[in-house]
Amino acid sequence: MTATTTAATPAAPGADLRGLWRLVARREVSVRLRDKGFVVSTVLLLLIVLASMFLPPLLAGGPDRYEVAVTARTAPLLAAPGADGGAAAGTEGTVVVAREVADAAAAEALVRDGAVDAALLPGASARAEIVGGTSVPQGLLEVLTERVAAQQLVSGLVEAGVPPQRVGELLATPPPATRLLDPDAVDPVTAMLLGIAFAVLFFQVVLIFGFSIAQSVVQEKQTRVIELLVTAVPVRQLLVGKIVGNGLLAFGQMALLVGVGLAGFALSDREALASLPSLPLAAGWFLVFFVFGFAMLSCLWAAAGAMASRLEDLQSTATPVQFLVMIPFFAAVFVRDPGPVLTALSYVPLSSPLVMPRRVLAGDAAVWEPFAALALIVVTALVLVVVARRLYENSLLQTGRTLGFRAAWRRPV
Amino acid sequence: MLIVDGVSRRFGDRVALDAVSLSVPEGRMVGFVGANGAGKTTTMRIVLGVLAQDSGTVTWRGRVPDLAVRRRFGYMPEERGLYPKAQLAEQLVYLARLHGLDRAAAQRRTADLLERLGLAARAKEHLESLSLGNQQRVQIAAALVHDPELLVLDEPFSGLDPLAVDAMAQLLRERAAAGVGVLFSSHQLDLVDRLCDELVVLHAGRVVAAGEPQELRRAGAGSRYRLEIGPEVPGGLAWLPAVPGVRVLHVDGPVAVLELTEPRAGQEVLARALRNGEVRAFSPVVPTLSELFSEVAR
Repeated sequence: MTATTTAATPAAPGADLRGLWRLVARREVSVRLRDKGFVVSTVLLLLIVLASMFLPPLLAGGPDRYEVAVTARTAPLLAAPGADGGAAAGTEGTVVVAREVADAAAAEALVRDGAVDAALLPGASARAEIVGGTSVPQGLLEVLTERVAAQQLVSGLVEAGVPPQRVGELLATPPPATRLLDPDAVDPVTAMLLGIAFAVLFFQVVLIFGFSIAQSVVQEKQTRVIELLVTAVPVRQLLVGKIVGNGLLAFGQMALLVGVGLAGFALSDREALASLPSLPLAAGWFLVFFVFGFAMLSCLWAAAGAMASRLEDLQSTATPVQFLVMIPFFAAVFVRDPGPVLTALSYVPLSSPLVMPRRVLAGDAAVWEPFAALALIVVTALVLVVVARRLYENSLLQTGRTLGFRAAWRRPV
Repeated sequence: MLIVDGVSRRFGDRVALDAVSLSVPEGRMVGFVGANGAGKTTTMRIVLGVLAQDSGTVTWRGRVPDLAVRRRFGYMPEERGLYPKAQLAEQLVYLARLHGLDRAAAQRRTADLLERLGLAARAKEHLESLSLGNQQRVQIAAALVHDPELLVLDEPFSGLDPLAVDAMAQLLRERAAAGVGVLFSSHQLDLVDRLCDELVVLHAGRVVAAGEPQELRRAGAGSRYRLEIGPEVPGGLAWLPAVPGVRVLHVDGPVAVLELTEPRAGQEVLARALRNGEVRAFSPVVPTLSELFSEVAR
């Protein structure tokens, strides 16, 4: 082509032009912050994070507390054995309150009314009997069985002539301790669940903000305001401004969610936090990966927006990008156990933001590994930015039709 | 001065512009007319750098302008477009700042323009809540808000009521008086005639006429005259075709339009008419712009 032109060949823009992305970014931010949908979705996500932190302990009802009806005869059986009154192993946190009634009939009546969780009554064969309504809670059953058995053993030993002093000593013998040959500081289930929570957050926020970038681009095409914009702003500045503006919001939202989540976790479950010493580090890495992962994907979203002409077309041009977000997400969620597959996923640029923080959390990533994965993301991002920029620049002024990848890749004639 | 020199552009096999040349001097209003598809919009988009030409040059003050220079032009695109859900003042300030104004200047200019266009009270309303006419005014404000050095306006008057047209014309004249060159297209030829200092007529991608409207008319009038005699004059105009150097174009009762093939024949025609009786008028025929336009566009 014999383009001897004023146009299209972007002349070296003045320093004045180079800072224009800031204006564009500022507008994106201010428009979004006043957008009700954005505010509502942020609050909603925040509520979900809080709910996931506080609801399970609430629903579980805190420490287990049971009431058991006893008669004068069975009351001693319920006493916690041992001189120190300590409960048997495995029943910590379970409180059993005895409620003494006159006879078995009264006890059964209480059980029927649901006023007590169970009754402990003298059994037919001289053994005690646990009486429940439709069922006896599993935790209570264990405690009662254990205590009754222990008390029966104690009275048996005393009857056999063993001095009570000696019996007390025997009972005080600590249960066997557990010693792991390969101790793991982190509970793998908690680590995996938190890792998946990270992945879900990433997925959600990238989808929401990716779409909003694409929408913001296609709206400027659809309303034709783009024709005015390109006479004032280099196209690249527009692209950068949109990505930075939405990226800041996305990062802000993400930092808020992660921060609130961690704080909530710390408040609701101190022990679990203590057992996850790498959680702050993993959360930090997660945010770093988020920034680069978002940058990598967001320019593709912008290109998808530019290839559509109207909002209605966006669904089709954005589908390939959606897949690039969804496939790694499902891979990251379905591969649960550490192993070569998970390690590989923690390096693949599209899935590493979802998986590497999880490996850091579980403590099985060496110090250098997140850096290596990050480097791969940066390289990929650079390639994708070049591709996306070309698609974006070529498509931006072609209104009236949806462009395929090839049409968008070709320089417009 | 903006100079478009020999600019051509094709779209596929179709030639949209064929060596178009025109100039817009500082402080002059240049009307740009031509049928739909003649190439007006294409020319304007090339001037603004939205579209690239295949050959030819566009220069501004002697140089090929880059974006840093072109952003000081004001542009009203054929397909209107602003942010429908943004407040008027806010988007005008944004556009002004994109064009290089600082915040204070952008706000000042925005307030001034909205005031001038009678929209000051609605500065905080969303564009989409305005009537189409008012949206058009905002579009004009968007082209003017950064105090451009050159205005390129594609159909700035379409969709405006007569009052708004006057306000708009007034605004453009002021800009021109302040030294801004204005290139505007329009299908309302009487309006163009009233407003423009110079005229460029485009037909099928070529400039077919250019110059000051008076000149063009005089040239178009050539040697055409209109003769009207009293209705009672005996014999009427039957003698006219026999005058040497005269070609009668048409006769309607006591009125004739004739063309002088011999310049001095005019005096002869008038003398004869006077001898025959009453003469009510004898004058050169000056075509209206529409007549001129349909002539060149044929």
